[in-house]
Amino acid sequence: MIIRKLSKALAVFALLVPVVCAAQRAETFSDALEKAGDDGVVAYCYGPDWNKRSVQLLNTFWNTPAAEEAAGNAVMVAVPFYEKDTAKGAENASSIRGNMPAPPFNVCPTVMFFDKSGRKYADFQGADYLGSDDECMEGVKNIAKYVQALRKQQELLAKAAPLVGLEKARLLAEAADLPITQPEGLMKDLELADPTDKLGAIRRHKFDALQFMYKQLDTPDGFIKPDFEADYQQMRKDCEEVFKDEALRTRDRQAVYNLMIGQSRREAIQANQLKGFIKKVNKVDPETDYGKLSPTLVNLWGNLKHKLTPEERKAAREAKRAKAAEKKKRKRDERRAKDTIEIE
Amino acid sequence: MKPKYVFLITVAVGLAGGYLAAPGLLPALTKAIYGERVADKKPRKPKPATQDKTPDVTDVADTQKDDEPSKDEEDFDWSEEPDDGLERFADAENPDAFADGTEEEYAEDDDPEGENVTPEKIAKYRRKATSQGEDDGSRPVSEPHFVGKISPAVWKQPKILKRRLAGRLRSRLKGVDQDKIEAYLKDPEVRLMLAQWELLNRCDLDVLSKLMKDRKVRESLSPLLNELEWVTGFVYDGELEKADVALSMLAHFRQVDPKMDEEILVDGGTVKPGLKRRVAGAIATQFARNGWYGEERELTKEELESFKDLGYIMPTLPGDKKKGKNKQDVYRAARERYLYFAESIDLERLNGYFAELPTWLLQYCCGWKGNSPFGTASTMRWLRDNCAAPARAYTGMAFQVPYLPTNVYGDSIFSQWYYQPFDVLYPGNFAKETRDVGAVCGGLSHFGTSAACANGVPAITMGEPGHCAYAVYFDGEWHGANSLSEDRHPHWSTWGEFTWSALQMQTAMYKQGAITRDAQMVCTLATMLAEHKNPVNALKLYELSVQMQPLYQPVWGHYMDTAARSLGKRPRKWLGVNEFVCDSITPEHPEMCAKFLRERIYPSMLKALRSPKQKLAAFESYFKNINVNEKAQWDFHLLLDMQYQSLGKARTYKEKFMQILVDNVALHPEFCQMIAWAIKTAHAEGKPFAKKVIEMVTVAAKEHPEAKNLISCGVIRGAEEIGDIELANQWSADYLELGKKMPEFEPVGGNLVSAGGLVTLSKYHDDQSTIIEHAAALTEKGGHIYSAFGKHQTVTVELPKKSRIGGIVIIPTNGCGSYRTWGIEISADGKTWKKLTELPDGSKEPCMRVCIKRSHPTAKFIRIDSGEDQLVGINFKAILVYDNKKVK
Repeated sequence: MIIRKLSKALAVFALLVPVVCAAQRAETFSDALEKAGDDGVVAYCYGPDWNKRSVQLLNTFWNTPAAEEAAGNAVMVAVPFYEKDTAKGAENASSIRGNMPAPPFNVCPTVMFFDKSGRKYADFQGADYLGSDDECMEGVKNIAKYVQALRKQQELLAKAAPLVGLEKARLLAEAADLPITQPEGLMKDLELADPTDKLGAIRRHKFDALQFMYKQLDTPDGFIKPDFEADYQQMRKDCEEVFKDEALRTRDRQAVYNLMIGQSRREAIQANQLKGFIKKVNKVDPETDYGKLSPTLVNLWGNLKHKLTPEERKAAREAKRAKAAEKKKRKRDERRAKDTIEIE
Repeated sequence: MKPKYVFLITVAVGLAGGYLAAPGLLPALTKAIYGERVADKKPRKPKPATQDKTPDVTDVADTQKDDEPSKDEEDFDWSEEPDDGLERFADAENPDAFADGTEEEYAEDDDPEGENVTPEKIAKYRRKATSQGEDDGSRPVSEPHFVGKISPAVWKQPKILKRRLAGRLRSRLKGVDQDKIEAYLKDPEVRLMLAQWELLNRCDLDVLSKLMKDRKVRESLSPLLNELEWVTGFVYDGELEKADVALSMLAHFRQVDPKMDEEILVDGGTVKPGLKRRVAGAIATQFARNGWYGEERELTKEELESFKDLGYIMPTLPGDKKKGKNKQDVYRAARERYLYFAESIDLERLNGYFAELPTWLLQYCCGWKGNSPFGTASTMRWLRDNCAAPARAYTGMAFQVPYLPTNVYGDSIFSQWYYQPFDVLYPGNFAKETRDVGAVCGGLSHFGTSAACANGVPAITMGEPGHCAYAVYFDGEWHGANSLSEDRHPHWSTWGEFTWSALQMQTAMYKQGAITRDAQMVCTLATMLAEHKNPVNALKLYELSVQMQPLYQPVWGHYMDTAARSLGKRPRKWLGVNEFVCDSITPEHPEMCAKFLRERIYPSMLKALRSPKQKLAAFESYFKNINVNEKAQWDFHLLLDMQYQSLGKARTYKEKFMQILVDNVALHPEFCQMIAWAIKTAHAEGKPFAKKVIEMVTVAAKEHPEAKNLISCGVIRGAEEIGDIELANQWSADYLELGKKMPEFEPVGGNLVSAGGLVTLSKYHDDQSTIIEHAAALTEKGGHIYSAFGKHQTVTVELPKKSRIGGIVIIPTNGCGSYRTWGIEISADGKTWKKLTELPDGSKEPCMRVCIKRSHPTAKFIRIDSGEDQLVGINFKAILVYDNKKVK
């Protein structure tokens, strides 16, 4: 009985440890790395001489128990980034910063996250992620989110280490899906554990929707050639195929389907069919931006009238013929030696 | 009749008769009853009926009631001063030295020739300018704290006010020599009056008069208009145009922000109340000047109400006639911009150094493009809260936006569908929409610029050939960002000039803030004297102003307009002016100086200079003063043509001109395009002259071995432009072994026939230094052919002799992926072209071979054309042409 009570108490204690052990503070980034445990370092970048808002937030957000609690056992450090070296206090800035990288685009305030080895695994900046209130409630939530994601990542990698095959791959894939940067070599390990990509995680992380789109539009740089004629049926087939692949990220699947929607509009297909495509994107996930756009698109494009005049029909026929000729020409070009044009 | 009526009638008739008989009686009575001031007032004249019917006046408030003087308005009686300052002016201490001049006196002015501008004078002002310091231009010009006493009511009659200000100013002027002017300008009241006069001079006084009839307006503006620091900044920092419109906007801002004058607490200290006022002035100036409408949307009920309540007179603005636009849109856009900055100042959200910006930089920062969707308050607010960075970091801020010519729906950025589907997700926040959806160069640069401006850092978008870039101001300079070329043209300017050089010159001028301000005030004084028929002293003052600050471009216009007749055909005087211009502007701003000489000085000076010798002296003055190492990206040939053609037909002087040109370009070889001009021009004169010029260049290249490469570029370009294969090859001989890494390729024909040929480009790239590699690019060793960016770029290869073509090999510098379906044409005479083939698109090979199997057409010219559809630059390592003969 006593042992059972004791073990319950120990369990409760163990659960409370992360809460009770508040984050530590460090004066410099290198100190923070030295002190860092598994929760790593959370750094707050501010601009003492040029960004008053970030200085104000030191008191109302950064140096508060709420932020400390959110940071768990991470070591917290505030790092100043001065605009002018001559500003008061700027002389110590480089020693505080040490070898810490600058925030993206030098924007402040920024919260940056490092694991104990000094690898940056996440960051967020600006009011969109900190919130507009002085307490930055959104920022506090985000700190907790990223610190917990690091814990989770470490836990999954530790569990995966002794395993092999799909079992290992499943854990590695879960670690790779977390909203923080993957540690170096994770994808390589995943490929070793799941060489045929049965789980689809390798596809998910390697799929590049933009490159897929450029390939479909036959453009290396995104500028569509004036004489480009899409092979609509082929494009539709390719897009549908990607869309069906549930291993891919929802956003990527929606993006690829969007290309097909755009092309359908350009090809002037039946309005009802176009509406159907648009609704499909929404159905996959109505909460993403692309999902939210569906009603707008139905309004914008779903009612476009495509009744063709005889002249337009004639023009369309000619365009189709020209398209076929162009395709033939392209194939001929492709047949030519890769680097040679032969002229009779 | 009842006795009481008889009594009243008698009194009334008596009073009326008494008034007619003794005009002073009624005022005396009024004085006795109401007090002195009201009685002194002249009877109000009835308003002209036309004033009330002016079509461009909207929402005119009931001014009858407002016209009643307030208590404050009675504090200062402007009418105490003499109406006509001319009398006082004549009574000045030294009337002989300072009498009003007449046209006759002016014409007879017999200053010794050249005395007006002397090297000593120039040196003196230079020293002064230096001692006043180039502070880096990041702080406002310091003016003493001084508040004038013009009561609000006086502004109701701006014409009278302007005349009286002139009278007062002239009455205090003791002479126009430098010492007296310096002493004169030390008086803060004089400085204030000069600025006020200049302000009135830039207003439509009828419009201003209507505006100031509204008591709320004049009482609101009066404190600003009496404050020396504010008025001088408003009038002199940047080019003030449509001042009346700007003032009405200011009144508007003051109405919606009663806290404009409050001190702002920062870190326990205070930011002086001038900041919000200066911001308001900067915004009003730019919105009034440009008539920006901001985003197109319906006014809210509240906004409509506010316009109704304010009842301001809104003068007609440029663009009012545009369909669907109205004046309120401009006022609303300006007001939104002001309120954004006022709020950001209150919240301390702007860059920490914003408060120190001088007004001219505030115009760039706060008065930024009001017609851009990036310039709306909601977009700027988002940029402020999410893209705050140190000033220098804004040069990289544009790259937050992904460069995506096609959106996720496959729609091109040039179509209406690129952003339209996304608008619903980003209401009123075009910056965020751009960041999330993507953009090309224009969107990127506008994002970077608006992010900087929204955070209180001056920035400006710029056009470059086929590209949009931007510049950010920090560390006392403009820094190009997202820039591909030095051929930059700011999209807007506070000065009416849209060149990078003009921006640089303006910046240099404002860096000498104190002396520039004094020079501007002297210019005001001169304009005022000119307006009061005193051209002699006006001319002296304009001259003094240009000597004080030669970079202040507007004064040169006044000076030359006034001086042209005075200088007449006196060569030494003209040479003095020319020397001064070249000495003071050319060193750092050769483009602006060239433009100025061409447009302002030469048209009159070249008529005055009798001998070509004098002209040569004048022209040399320009070249010898060049002191920057920047490429000549501007229309320098316009200056050279003008100079050269003015020398007449005598060869001796033309030769001397060429010698001067070549000697000076050798010292500044970045101007090597001038050598090309010299060769082209000499060639047009005939072979002997061309030979002579080439000899000069050869000597210069020997004497300046460090400049030899660029001089060679100039010669080769000249040779290419005149089609002189021999000359081009002679100067290219040293640059044939460049050690370029060439890809291996199978032979396509017989012998190489392009070696020893000539390359010509439709448009040369800014970077002239690669021209020496043209000849090598026609050999298998490889070189570099690099054209400017644009549509329809062509590179033409002229073969040393006609050949039957067996094949062509094209080696692009960055592989075949760098070109599109470009055409290859051939010609036997360089006039009639025949299409040979088209380069296929999308090849990833390092080179492209064109094999001609049977036809083997005869050609002397081969041309590659990028076509009309693409904005591109040609960038090849080699173009190799082979014949069909057996390889020797």
